[in-house]
Amino acid sequence: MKQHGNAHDNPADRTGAVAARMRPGAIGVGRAAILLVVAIALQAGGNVCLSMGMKQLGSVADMTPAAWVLVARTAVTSPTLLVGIGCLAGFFFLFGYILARVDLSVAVPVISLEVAVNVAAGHWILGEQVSALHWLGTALVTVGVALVGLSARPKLEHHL
Amino acid sequence: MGWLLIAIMVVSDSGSDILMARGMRQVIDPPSRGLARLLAVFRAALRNPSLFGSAALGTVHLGAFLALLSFWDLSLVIPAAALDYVVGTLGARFLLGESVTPLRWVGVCLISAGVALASVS
Repeated sequence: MKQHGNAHDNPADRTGAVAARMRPGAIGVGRAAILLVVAIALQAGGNVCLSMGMKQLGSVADMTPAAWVLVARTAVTSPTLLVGIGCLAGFFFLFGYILARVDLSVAVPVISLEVAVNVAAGHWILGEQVSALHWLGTALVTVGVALVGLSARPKLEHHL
Repeated sequence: MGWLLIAIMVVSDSGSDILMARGMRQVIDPPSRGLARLLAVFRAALRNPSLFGSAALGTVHLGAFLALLSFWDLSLVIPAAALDYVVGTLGARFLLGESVTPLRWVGVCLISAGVALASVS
């Protein structure tokens, strides 16, 4: 008679299979939530600082060679821009840490909220005008980024 | 000029990612542990042309982002920068011939529609 069971019918084997799927150094839900919130705050805070610093500098929309030199010089001398770049560097390393320890099906959709958080920061902190249509567009982009991120999940997990 | 800078951001970011992936696979192959091996990987990374190219394109991306922030609102730049996913997907499908999942196509359509709504309002 054909056996319909498999190795996972044994509780000990099932536990082993689950353990094998977990990432080394996986962290708990509470700690993961805190890290994700900190990552989003670093990213949005960094972008707010960059926006403030560049608005203080004035428009370089003409993009002449002199404008590029001015942007480069300002990027390494303006305290506001340096703080912004520091925040984004912190986000980069923290997000790498999160990706190695949190399930991508959780990390990617949560991190995609950064689009909406940035728009909210632009509105509430920088005083930018954001219409209802703009909010709707932002919501669509946020969901779209989450879907694109999730669709890359098997490939990403293969490389992690 | 704003959309030109968005295009520069998108292309330089995608190019930087591709070169970073290629370079890291070259210097960390095979994966191994240990301080001596780590230092060897670091030295190899400093001599790797792909990683240099990635850093250069990353610098261009940051420069375009900063320039854009000097005259565009952050609340428009960030959603518009998500066009990176759209261009990356179109490039993967039509230039590299990769298969793209329906879920990804839905995401690309939502991003495109979202950027259009955010930019016209």
